[in-house]
Amino acid sequence: MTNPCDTTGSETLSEEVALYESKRSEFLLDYEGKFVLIKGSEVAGFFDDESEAYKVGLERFGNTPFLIRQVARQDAVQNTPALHFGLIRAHT
Amino acid sequence: MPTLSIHFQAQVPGSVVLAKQGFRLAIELRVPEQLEKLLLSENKPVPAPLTGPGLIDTGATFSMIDEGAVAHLCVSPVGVVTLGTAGGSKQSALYPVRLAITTPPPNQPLLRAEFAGITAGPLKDCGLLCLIGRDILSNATMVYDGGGGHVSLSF
Repeated sequence: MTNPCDTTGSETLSEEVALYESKRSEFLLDYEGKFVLIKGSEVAGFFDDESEAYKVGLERFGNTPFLIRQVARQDAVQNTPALHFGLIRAHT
Repeated sequence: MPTLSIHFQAQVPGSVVLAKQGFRLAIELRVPEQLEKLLLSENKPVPAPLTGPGLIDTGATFSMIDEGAVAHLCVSPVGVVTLGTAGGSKQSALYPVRLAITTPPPNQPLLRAEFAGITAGPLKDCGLLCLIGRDILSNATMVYDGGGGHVSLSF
């Protein structure tokens, strides 16, 4: 474990995300719907649920950044409009 | 997701307060159980739980925690998600946490959930520790009686 408290953001996982994107079509053939665990350039396995992937990720890599991603044809865009448009504080 | 059939009534005195503040409830954040076991096995300190207000946000597709909580809990990112924002799409990290929704004292748990990945954002400025989005609410029954100043939530 090189850094037990690496809480840095999404850029930390850029290598893992790039690997996932490059292999997405390949993954879809056999693992659509599964959760893939990636650390650096290593594909560490496919799992039925996120918690199992997290457990294995912790066992293998400790509390360091690694990527867990559900293998899917498209990734949904998520929204928190009230926060992003400043509406939550509108009446406080 | 664990379910507890406890009727919850928020501590709001009336419709005006409810309209201004929204449906707020008590939240507790901890490191994931698996990470806690790992830290203990390595004789490392386990970050103390964080407590604070959460806001029900039915407009949010997913739940979010304050970014300060990520640093406090010392959890590393395990994923990336695309967020739609006023300025366009951007990437945001996902963090593993253990979240509990509790009722007012004596703090009975209404819901306990482990998230393999939840995003973080600048909620502290809004006086919040957490936004409760539709991912959690998909398992809930919620009644919002704005005129009566009454809300209830059950899982």
